[in-house]
Amino acid sequence: MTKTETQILGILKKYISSLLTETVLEMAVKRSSVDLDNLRPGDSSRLANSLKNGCRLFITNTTERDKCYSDLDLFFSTAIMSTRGKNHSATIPIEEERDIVIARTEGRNLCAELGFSLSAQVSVATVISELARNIYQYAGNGEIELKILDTDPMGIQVLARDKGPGIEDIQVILDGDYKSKTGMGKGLMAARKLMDEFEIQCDPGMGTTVTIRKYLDSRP
Amino acid sequence: MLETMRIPIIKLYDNLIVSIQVALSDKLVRQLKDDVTMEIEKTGAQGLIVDLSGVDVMDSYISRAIRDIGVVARLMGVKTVLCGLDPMIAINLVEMDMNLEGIMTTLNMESAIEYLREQEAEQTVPFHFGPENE
Repeated sequence: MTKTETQILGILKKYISSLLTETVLEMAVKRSSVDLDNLRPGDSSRLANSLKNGCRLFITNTTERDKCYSDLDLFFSTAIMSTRGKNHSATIPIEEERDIVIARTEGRNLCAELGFSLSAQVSVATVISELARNIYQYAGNGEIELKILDTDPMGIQVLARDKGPGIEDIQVILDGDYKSKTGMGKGLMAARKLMDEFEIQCDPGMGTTVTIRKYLDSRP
Repeated sequence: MLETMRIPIIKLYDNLIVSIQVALSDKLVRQLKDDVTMEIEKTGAQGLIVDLSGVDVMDSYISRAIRDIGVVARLMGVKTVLCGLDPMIAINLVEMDMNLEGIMTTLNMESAIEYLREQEAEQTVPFHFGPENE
């Protein structure tokens, strides 16, 4: 029995009878088609969801169930931290148009691994897409840095940096009065609205840095 | 590979069907806009269905482009229906205050086809030759 297996069984045993735990795990592994000995990026969130589905059948008390869910989430996110490294960060250069897709896909995968809800994954991916496009369109090139935040609850930080001309009427944009020629003029506003934290630093002639953070929410 | 990729446009009876099943790059969206207009002109289609079920993200640029496709199609006399929008993306669009106003949306491809069929039936006014009351 592998270490991961023992640890998961350990969590499950707190909530359901030990006879059932192995079946629940076995079914979850089968359903999510993952290899416990070799969890690849993205696997853990699928496995976690299958496990939760399995547990739902046997834990009738909702408080107990929520506790079990958060135990599982915690386990998987810590597991990612140890494989990815505590200060995991990835930098994606934005130089051509296709880098926008690469950046948002990478961001979404990282969110999935951390156990973000589907809607949060989409929000983060959308915001990365907006920020990356701003870099490409207005500054020509720059970079997107993704970082896992080892906080409680855990989170993800996205930093978009460029050395472009900066943004002139930042207040107009953030007030939502800006009309873009190509988009809906709502990119930055959306970033601020969808994320938990939003900072923008912009010195004319020195470039722009946008930082956003999104934390894991406890909602299922 | 991404550079040469195109989103296929399928003609089915009187409608054009576009099913987006890849992550949309800006270039791909622009290409699609051009391709759709050209295809409308070539085929004389009555309706256009854009299936968004495989779209990973609808950010401001992509939403705008999709809406533009619908507007251009309307100017060419073609009804556009969007379908298959992922629930998470729909929520996200609302949160971002980017509604695709003015464009019909349906849950799935089936209801999109049904909608266009109904529209067509409504428009087909019986045409009489000669005097009406004989």
